[in-house]
Amino acid sequence: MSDLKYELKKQIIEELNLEDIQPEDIEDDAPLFGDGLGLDSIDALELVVLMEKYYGVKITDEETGKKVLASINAMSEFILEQKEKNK
Amino acid sequence: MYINAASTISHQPTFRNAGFSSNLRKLDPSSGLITPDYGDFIPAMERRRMSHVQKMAIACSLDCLQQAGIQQPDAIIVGTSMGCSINTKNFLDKILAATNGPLSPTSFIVSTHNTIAGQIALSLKNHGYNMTHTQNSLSFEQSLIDGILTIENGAQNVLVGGADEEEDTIYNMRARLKNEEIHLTCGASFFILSKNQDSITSARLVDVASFGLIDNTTGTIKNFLDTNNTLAEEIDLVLFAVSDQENKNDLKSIFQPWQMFDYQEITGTYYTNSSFAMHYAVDILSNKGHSIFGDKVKNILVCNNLIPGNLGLMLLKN
Repeated sequence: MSDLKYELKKQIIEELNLEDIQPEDIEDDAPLFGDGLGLDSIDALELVVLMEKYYGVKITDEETGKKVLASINAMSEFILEQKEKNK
Repeated sequence: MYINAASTISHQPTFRNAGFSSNLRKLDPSSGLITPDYGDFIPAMERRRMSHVQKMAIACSLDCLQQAGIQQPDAIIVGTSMGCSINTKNFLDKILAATNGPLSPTSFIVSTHNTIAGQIALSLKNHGYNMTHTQNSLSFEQSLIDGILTIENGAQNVLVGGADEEEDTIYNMRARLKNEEIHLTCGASFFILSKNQDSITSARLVDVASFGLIDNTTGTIKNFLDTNNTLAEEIDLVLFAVSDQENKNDLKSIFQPWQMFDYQEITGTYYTNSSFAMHYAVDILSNKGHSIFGDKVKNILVCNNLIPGNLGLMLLKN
């Protein structure tokens, strides 16, 4: 597991108060919403705040949000992509 | 109006313990809250955003519905003085710590007073009337009055409760601003108020009244009793909370010392502790245990004068 993905999982667990869940329990490609981790719309807002707070990455529209917050893989790819753009 | 279920989480062994009034001891204010396993009542994914006050309220609400054998109340009405004070403190801390970044939406959402009644409704998937009353030490009495009016307007069963949680900052602020070093406790008490008497009815709520800015406590109590065709000597037990000795003397001018019991000795101090006092009264009247006040208690007056000028009165009979 890459350091970035592991960090993301730790931050999600802490920010969303996911009791009894360890970073290892979250699959990189599993959906974060619905049948996957079971997050809801308030969590989506928290994830948008988390991305900006820890990585300086802004999600400004709903379509991007749906795509980027789909899984840990999608989040980490978006962070790396934005960092590359801002180099 | 009938009370068909009652449930309390407090610093005393009250939860799912009918007859508790027979063996409560004087409360040590530094004691901890006695809670059930909230996992039995609230799924983990819902529980993670909740502070004490929300978890207590939901557990008591579900317990009440189970006792009364009903799936959905027609209304959910909650009285709280301080609301979700722990989450409010967290939200304020995050504002102070924030620089230019966005603020967490959850902290705001779960810090409003009406989060408690809202979370109960979400938990039950209830779409009925949902109301929160915050009126300082009279928040619970206001909720009860709303519950009675809701039933008079056609509802059959109404869930009414009072809930508050302790928070160190509030204690410290009071200590600094008012020079009052009162160790606040916390609790939640919920009831099913029903139009109809039933085999599960524990007590009858004859009347509730709430008064602000009063300067004549004795006259107000006498008028309340007159309105309900009850003589002071017919009251078997007065459960009272007073702010000072002067208020206690007012009560002593109406009632005999043997009729009076300071309910803060068992509830501790929080601004909706009259809801705990009402459950205490219901438990005594239902006679499931052997009350220290004897087995012949039939009429109980709960007299909430916790804050000077604020007076809440509740008359209960078996």
